[in-house]
Amino acid sequence: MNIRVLTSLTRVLAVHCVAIGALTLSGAGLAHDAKEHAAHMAKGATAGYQRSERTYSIPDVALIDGDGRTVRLRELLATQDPVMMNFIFTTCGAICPVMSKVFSEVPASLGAQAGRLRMISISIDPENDTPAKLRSYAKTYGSSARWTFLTGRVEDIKAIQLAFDSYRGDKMNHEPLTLLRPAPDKPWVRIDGFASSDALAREYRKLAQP
Amino acid sequence: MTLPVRVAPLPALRFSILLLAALGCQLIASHVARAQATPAADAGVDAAQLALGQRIYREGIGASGQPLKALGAAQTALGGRDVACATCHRRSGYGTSEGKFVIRPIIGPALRQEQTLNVRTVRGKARLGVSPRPPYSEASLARAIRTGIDAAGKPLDPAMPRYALSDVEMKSLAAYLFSLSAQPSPGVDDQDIHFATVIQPGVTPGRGRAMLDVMQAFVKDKGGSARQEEQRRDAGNMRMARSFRKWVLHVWELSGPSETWEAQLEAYYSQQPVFALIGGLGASSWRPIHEFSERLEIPSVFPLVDLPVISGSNNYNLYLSKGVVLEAEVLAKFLREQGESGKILQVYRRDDAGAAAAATFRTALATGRAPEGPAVEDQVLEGTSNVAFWRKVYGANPGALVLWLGAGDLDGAQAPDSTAAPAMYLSSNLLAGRLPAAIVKAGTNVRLVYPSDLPPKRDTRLLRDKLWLHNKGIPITDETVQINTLFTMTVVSDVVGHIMDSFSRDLFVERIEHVVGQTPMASIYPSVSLGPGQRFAAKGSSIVQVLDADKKQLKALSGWIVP
Repeated sequence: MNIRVLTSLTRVLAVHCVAIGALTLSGAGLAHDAKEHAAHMAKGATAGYQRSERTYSIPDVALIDGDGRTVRLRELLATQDPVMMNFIFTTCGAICPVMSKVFSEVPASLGAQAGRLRMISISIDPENDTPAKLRSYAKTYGSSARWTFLTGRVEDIKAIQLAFDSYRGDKMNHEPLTLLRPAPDKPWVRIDGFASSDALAREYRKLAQP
Repeated sequence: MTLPVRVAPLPALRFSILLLAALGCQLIASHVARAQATPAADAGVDAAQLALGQRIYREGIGASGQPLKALGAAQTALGGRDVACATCHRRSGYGTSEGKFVIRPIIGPALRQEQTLNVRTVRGKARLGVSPRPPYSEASLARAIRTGIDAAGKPLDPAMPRYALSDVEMKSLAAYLFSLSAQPSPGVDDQDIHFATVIQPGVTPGRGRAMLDVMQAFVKDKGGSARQEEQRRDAGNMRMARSFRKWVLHVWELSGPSETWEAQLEAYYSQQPVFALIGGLGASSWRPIHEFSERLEIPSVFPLVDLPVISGSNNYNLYLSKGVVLEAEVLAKFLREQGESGKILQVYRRDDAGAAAAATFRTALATGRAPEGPAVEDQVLEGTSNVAFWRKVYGANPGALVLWLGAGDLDGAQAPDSTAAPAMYLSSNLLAGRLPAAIVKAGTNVRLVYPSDLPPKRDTRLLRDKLWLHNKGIPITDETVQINTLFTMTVVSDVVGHIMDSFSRDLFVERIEHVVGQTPMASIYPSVSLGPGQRFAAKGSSIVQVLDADKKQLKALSGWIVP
């Protein structure tokens, strides 16, 4: 799987080295291979991401949050605060755990700058992902008041995915996508692919300094 | 540690326009069909080692009992179940796909086999998405898992986490992987694939006939086309590694008390092992069949039951819905949202389904209801349903009546006095397609918890099923049973096609999870889907009012309610 990598090579390498160093190793095998690993990464075998700027028209739909409260998406996204949004489902195996872990780490990566950031994760398996399931999913990734999980009616969830050009027919056909927006009157920054929390933090800082 | 795995070389593959996924499946399929592995336990691998390997694989729990740590895509530190091998590669080890991410098979035979490509074109290689590599040894496997470098020295996809495993853990995991899905599951031979359908005692002959007619017509069709497919096996410009087994359907009728069913099932199974149980009809708790399936690891696909097994670990039992439990949750949500404030009286028998429905309803109604609000009152029906009993029911002056009863019990009911007729809510599951004339008549306010949508949408949605039934000369006698059975058979047929000749029951279940939402033949439910580990396909229901019982005229009182 090779997707276009816009992230510069040096930056990727730096992030990898930091991350490998930070990972606590309980086994013996991994540490001495880190160099080899990084060398291979330098050859370009890394998952990058693709960044683009888009304008989307937000559908006027009512969703439900993890506490069972009704949330109108347009009202939620009318906030002046910066927004970071993704699409997940709780039984997803390969893509969502990484996406959710990354979201959970973004505030730490941003440090003091995280202040007003709102994070939103919308389920693309709404009939299975009831508010209770979203609550327990959020807990496993360290839920916070600034991170909202949403579910809703099948047709509304589909409308949202269509509006953000992320509908791929079936939930199992989805792709990793993060959407960032500094303010309601600004375009969305669309990030296709796996971006680390540090990479998202970098993109976020770019938004903050126009 | 060596494992005597005999693997024949991959047959020459020629490629034309072909989807990546299909190609992946075909490769896997031919690997497995040709691999004859001896169980690892024979080769000096001890059971404790395999057990640890299995725990790492399935749960992401290491030797210390602590969750494993690994570095995932985007350099994300992950742990526990998120990095359990089975989360992505699935319990079967055959892998899966999510969007453009293809998660490779890591079953024993695939690891043990050299990955060569007879594909020379760049385009072909891009489609295939695999790179040539020598067979994995224990050492190269350890390197791959720890550092993400494959047996050919090339990096694995970054989505594959890098694991911090101790030597003991690594050895155990390797032993488990090399033995994973190494042999085809029972119930399949070179000629036939065997299925069974289980019918509990107490199922009416009409319902049994309705299900079996559809199944047998479907199986007959499969048999007819399998003969032709056989001749096409090597036709075209690629090898069609399809299963092409003749379907054999066994009917396992149970009799006597439920404590004896397990032994009856085992007797049937020892006579002829089956690959999976398909459909099935229940008149009481399905638990004994569920437990049999779970214990012998036999998939059971969509039996028509009022009360499935809802809690506990479930790897092999797939249900269409939670039956009366779903109905109770949907009705409670409906009444809560309607702001129903009057007294609610629920009537039920103390059998498995009645008791489960009543208990679920009481709990679900209490959720979010003000504590000072009116409580649910219970009226248990014991003995026969007679005038005196129903006088007592109506005498309680309920604002709403919830009747968790079958049509037989409701036939004995008196209609309420039409001047004070409460709304009466009935269970579609328990009615089993029959509206009791005693209470569904002018002046009564009868409502159903209803699993389907309404005309005209429903008619067009079910048109394909009804044409199929018509073409097979099967009159519609029990619409729900017939349509859901045809749906089940179609799902099973699609999935048997998908797994080709990789006859792994785990893979079979995983493919059902994947395709059920896209099955072209409709079920009675307007919306079905599964996902990894999900076990109930339809997650909602609606509330309708019966306007005219004879014409089966219904009016929607709600949209699709997902509790």
